[in-house]
Amino acid sequence: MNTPEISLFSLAAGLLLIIIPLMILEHYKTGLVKDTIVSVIRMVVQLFLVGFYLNYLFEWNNLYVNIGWMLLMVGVCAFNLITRIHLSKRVFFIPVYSAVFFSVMIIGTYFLKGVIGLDNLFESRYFIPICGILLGNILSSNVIGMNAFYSSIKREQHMYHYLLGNGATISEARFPFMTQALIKAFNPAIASMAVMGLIALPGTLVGQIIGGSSPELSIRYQIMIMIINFSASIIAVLISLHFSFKYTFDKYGRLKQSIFKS
Amino acid sequence: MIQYKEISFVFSGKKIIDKFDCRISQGEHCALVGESGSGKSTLIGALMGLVLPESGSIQIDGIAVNPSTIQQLRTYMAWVPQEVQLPYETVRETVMAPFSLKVNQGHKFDEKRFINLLSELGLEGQSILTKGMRQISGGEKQRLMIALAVLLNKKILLLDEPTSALDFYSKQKMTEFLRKLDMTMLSATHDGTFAESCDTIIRIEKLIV
Repeated sequence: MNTPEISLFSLAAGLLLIIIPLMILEHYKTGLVKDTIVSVIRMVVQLFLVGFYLNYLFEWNNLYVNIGWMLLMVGVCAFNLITRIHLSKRVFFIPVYSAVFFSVMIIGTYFLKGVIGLDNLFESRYFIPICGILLGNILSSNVIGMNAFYSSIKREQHMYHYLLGNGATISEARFPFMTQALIKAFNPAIASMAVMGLIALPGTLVGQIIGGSSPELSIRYQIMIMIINFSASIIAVLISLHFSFKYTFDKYGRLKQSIFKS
Repeated sequence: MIQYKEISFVFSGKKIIDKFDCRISQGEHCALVGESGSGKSTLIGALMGLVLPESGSIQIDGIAVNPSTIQQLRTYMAWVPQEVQLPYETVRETVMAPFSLKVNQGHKFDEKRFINLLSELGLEGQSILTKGMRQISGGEKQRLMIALAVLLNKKILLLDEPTSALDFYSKQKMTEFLRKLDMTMLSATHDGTFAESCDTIIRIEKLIV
């Protein structure tokens, strides 16, 4: 079964739907109309560019281009992440980049080689989209996780110092803040998995069915996408935090205040 | 036991303590008194490596406080700050928490002894252990945390304003309780009566800049 075509004219007709939310946002004087228009335009342009270059990436299917593209995507993800967590870019870029890279590679490799059984791990048609989907989820959960950890330890420094001063190791003193960060970052994903399929059909499932795959196969892919996203995101948060500690705590285990943007 | 050698502290470019020199012997109870902002809590924090001096040094049991020794030195101390919010819902969770730390492994929570300590401080131990942390007053919390610190049996007890949240009667009980302790104790305090019960009073003058 072929995917039904959406012509540019049809796409334009579909985009007219955005008028409804714009009217609602304008009526309630949210101040978000301009931002919405800009975001939609950016989304359309960016996705068209993605479609354009993905065509070439899939056509070339060159190992070095694929790896280079993945490294670039990781860099953009890391940069966006750090911008959103309001912490020093200089301090956090390397730990976050490394953490994102390792989690994408570990989980991506397990999925593409171990689960799907691809001969060529770096086959662009699979490697690039899977990296992309992992990075999207890593970005959102890492922002929450890192913000939660550093803002709570800054806010509750008295408690952190109390634990240190009373003989806790630095890991033990950080433990309650790690717990809070993981809870805040992953509660939404856990809740989402619990109702998957009951309330809504997720994007991967819909895309695959429209693309012609059987519902049974689509469901298997959807399950795997949820699991690899969850796993990669948790690994990335954990590694990001642990890698960052070398730069964010001094030799006495005290939090460096210079990591916070003023 | 504790030796401050010509130690100075600077915060935001201002010197708050200048060449402080002092020796506290093992088993000595020492009160630090002075105005707010004179640096009493700073001197206590420096023992745990939570505040770093601009110059001078500190030794505990002959061991200099530095990054390679600080973890070991922190195991010698029990510290009760003036206020701390712990993330536990119940009193029982709060008092059990230190016993899960590596530093206190092999040291079990002795409920009977803890209840006796609380009773010396005028608290009904059995009853308070069943309460939530939000159900107890500031004064009860202060006594609870000090009893817990004593229960941990460390070499050094560090107290920041140990009587600040207590009424007159409870202050007397606390003063008596602490006076009997056989451990090195350093307390920052505004309470003259409590200070006078200590072996040594060190008066910290606030630096005028």
